[in-house]
Amino acid sequence: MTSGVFPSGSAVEITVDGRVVAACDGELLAAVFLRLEDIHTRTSFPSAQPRAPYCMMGVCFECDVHVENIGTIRSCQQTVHAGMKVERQDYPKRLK
Amino acid sequence: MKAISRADLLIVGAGPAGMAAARRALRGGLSVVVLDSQSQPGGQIWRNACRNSTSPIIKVLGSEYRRGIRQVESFLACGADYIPDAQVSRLGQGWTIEYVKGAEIRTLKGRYLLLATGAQERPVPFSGWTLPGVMTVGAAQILLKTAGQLPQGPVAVVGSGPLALLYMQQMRLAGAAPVAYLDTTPRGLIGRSLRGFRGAMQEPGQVFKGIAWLPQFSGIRHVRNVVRVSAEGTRRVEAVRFESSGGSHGQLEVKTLLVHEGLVPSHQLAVSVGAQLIWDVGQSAFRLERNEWMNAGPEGLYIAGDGARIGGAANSEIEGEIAAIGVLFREGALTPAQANADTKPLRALHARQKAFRGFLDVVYPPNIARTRPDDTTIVCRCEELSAGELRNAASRGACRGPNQLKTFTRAGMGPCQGRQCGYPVHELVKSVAGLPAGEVGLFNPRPPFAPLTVSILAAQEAEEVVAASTHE
Repeated sequence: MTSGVFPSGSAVEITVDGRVVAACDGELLAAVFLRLEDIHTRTSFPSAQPRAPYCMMGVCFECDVHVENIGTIRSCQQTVHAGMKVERQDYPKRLK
Repeated sequence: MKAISRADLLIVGAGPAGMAAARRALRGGLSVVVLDSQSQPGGQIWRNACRNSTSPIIKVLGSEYRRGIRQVESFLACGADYIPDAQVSRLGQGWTIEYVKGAEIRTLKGRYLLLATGAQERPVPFSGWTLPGVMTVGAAQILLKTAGQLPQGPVAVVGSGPLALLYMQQMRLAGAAPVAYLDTTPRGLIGRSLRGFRGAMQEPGQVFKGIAWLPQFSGIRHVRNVVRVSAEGTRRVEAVRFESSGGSHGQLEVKTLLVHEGLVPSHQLAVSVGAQLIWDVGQSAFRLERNEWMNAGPEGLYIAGDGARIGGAANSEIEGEIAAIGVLFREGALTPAQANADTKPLRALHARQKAFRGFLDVVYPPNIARTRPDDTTIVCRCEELSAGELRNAASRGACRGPNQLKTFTRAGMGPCQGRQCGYPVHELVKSVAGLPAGEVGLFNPRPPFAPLTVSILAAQEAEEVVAASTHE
């Protein structure tokens, strides 16, 4: 499992595909995925292969996820807040 | 209708170059707005500097990062209108910035535009590089700076260059060294170091710091002369295979594979408003043409820092300051004599930085990033186009550039807009067509440069219609 060597921010809960996940308030959403057993954030459009955060600076779009009330965003450009409802962009789920 | 904000100087990017330019321009009496895509200033190098200044993580991040905390604090106190969490979607001549903040597009106008957009890591395509768990070294470093987090281990690092060496050092200090460093630095390192000796001596402190990071001193397993790697796994990377130039093979079980072969400028915004790309042989990348005041050609357009040519943070600060003086000179706020006197010491420092960068470029050229990928290796990650498919299309269509190949194959048309496959496709077309780099070029960048929803666009159009009808 990943090491949160220097965790920052207060503990909050979010959901990923309906499952409750522990996170830190204000951290990058992509960082939460990189601590999960299944780190993938979306699947590729042509062949549904799993993809996960790759660049962490907004230039690869592999970390796209859907966040309720926000839309489809790059999880490396999005900070976490308590109660956030996140869904992976898995093919063939329609883009929202 | 919302008011459009105006300022004398608009700066995109609050990294070392943008912050230095803002401070100098304000001192010269200009009004300055600085837009940045992050929530805090500092760029990628000094990412999260303010918040980390009071965290124990600061011991891990090193002296250059600690210097950044002071730079960020002085920027925040300088009086510039600083707009965080703002992603530029489009630029207009003369100069207009459209940017996305929250759920709307906002507009800024200014007489001068300085782009300080920084760099991204050079894409390195190899078999399996799209698997979850394969990340860039820079990505892992952002994870460390923003979340105090290390990637899931065991971790192997493949590539070369100062950032890879620094990050392995930071991992060690954080208590979790990588299982191996698969070093892609080409053979002849010592010879190249001697050739670059004069450049190295411009920054001896940096060289000694770098030497201390070498794997020889860290106890990390060091595999030299790696010429091929592949990531293996089904749902995520499970192993990395490697081959050295001597022909020896190896395999390691990993959960994370970090890759890095240097940086390339984030040129897209600048090119979209008329800046010219020039192939830079020493950097194996395109740089943006500028005059001695960092003006990029069109009146009022300036570029500073790694967004124009890779030079590092200290170089970016110098260029930011020269650009600000250039704007003040153009504006008539400084006489030619004053502007020349103010830039004289900066130009001396700039020359030293350039010489030092020349040393790094000679010692750590990209290797796997410029090696012909296997036919089955994916080059365009978004559209999952393999090197074989793209080479076939390029040769069948007698492609003379990436834009032509894009129309044939969709390479570069996915969500990343060619930010990942741009350089690999450039290399591929170059090798198939046998044309010089400058002639092949890169994808034409197209707005919007930030993702926009239809509802955001629709709201903006409604405002324009309202404005037009009130005009009648």
